[in-house]
Amino acid sequence: MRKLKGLIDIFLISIALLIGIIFLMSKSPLNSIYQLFIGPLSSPYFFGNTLSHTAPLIISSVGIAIAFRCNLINLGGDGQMYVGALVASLVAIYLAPFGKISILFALIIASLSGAILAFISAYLKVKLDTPELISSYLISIASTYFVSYLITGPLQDPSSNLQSTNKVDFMLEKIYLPSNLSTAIFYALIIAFLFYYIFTQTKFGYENKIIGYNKEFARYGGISVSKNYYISFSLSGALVAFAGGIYIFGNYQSVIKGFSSGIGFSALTISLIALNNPLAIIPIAFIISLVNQGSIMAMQNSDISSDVALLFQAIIFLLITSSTLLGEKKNVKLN
Amino acid sequence: MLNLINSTLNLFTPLFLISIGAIITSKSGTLNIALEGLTLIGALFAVIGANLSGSLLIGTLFAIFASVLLASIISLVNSVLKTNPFITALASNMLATALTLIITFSIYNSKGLLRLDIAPLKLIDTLFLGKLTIFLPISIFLYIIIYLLIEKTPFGLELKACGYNPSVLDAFGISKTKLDSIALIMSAVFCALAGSYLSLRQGAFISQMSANKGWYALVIVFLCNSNIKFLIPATLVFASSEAFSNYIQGINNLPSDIALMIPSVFTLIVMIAISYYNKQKQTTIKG
Repeated sequence: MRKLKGLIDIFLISIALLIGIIFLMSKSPLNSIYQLFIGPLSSPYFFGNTLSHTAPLIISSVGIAIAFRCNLINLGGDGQMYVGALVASLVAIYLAPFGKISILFALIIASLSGAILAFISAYLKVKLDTPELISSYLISIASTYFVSYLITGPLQDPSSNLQSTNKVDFMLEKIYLPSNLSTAIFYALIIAFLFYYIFTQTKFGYENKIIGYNKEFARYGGISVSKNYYISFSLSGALVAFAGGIYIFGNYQSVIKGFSSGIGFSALTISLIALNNPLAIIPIAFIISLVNQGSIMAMQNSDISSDVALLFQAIIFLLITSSTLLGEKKNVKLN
Repeated sequence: MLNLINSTLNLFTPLFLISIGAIITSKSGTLNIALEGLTLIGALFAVIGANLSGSLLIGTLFAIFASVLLASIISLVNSVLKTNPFITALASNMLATALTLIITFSIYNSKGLLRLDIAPLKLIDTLFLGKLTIFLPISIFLYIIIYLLIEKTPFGLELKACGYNPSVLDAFGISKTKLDSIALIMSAVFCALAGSYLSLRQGAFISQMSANKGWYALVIVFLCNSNIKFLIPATLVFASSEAFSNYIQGINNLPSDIALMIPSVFTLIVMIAISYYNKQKQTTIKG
């Protein structure tokens, strides 16, 4: 309960700081605040779109949480998501003759691609003690440039005005027209519940947690730390890449240049706030998505920049591991 | 060829300044991921200060003030609220990105861009090395000072002790938190200098103009194994990879995204090579 109280405190502090900054920056602060917080809830269309963006956020946050639980930080989210989206769209276009089932294959292969990217970092961590924080970030930068090159070069859709690839033929079913909301939200919920089960009820989840608390103790107890690092980090990358695929089949239909930029960090924020609990990730991903959507509306309908969403996340990020505010005796351990 | 040397030296300057900052914090035993944000905020405030006052020097002082302020916030949050230092540092990078975008948008109405109203940093023609700025000799001078500070003074010894074994500090009644904060604030000064070099030379602040230099600096420190003696050659290696990336972008019809990939791939390879080398050394000692 003390933790929950602390979390609410941090949320309130962040919102207060955000409102303070809006008052400083905006000529019509009340309108800006209205657009930011109430805007996305004002019509079914915007509400549906908010939910539609929540789905991939939930999935990628669960992915980041897996790594966090065993004290690894996956900073490669942006790149893994970008690569996942590209692979998903390529596979879907290639397998389009097989019909809707192509989406399933596309998502599986996209997850594999993310797993491979993340596995490199885990391998380097286990074999050479390279900090996974830096290696995953560097891999993410390199792969982001490479995917951007493919999107604007050989794979660009010549008929599109945006810098994007060809559109995929099949999308997930829309369930709340006219908004973009698709069945993706159900898959996201299933994944969240599945990993809640895995984390709390299985041997893997238990070992994962013990390594997070104390690596040496886990080793002493006969848990293979390196095996767990491989599995957790690969799984983390796989889920983030999967979320990239969901962006294609649920929202965008094609890979747009730079669409994933910053989402990896949003996922980090969400899983930190949720204290790596997949069920808590669901509402928090919704709130972050709400602020993201609200910031876009505030940019269109008032005079503040859409980056207030980033600022909001940054402030939460700054405070969220505070053991003073969360009422813990010891530091929140991550590394 | 002269061109390549010249552009290497000009790319060397900011990277070197940030690396000096990185090595100070690495001596105190922290992996400082906030460098990126500290540099970015410095770059913006250098332009704001220079525009307000009409002087590049005052602009640079503005930059130092802003970066030190951000660093103080980080260390305050770290020590008072007892947060995870990695997460706080990541947060400060996000904070810097967000603040630069919001400030340029709300005050100057151009998102992520702020032009310098006065003449940018002067390039001085040197005989053999092409056109350079005053920041290069300044950075070398500061490097020597920091070298002496770390290697020859009691403060440097405390800093190193903090990195090797913090419990020793406890025994001597020195506060680790305080040392960490001082190291972070010192590194902020260097990031601010690097940031002001970037924007004042360019004649504008452009969003994300720190271009991952903060991360490369961490790998540079990794490369010279936190030994401050090797900092110049290590930085030169990285600066030349960046210069090479710029060079082939101009010469062939290579797509810019591929050329921009080079520094990060290069950094990754260097980091893997060093880790491999360190591991080998460890196993030899053990065996």
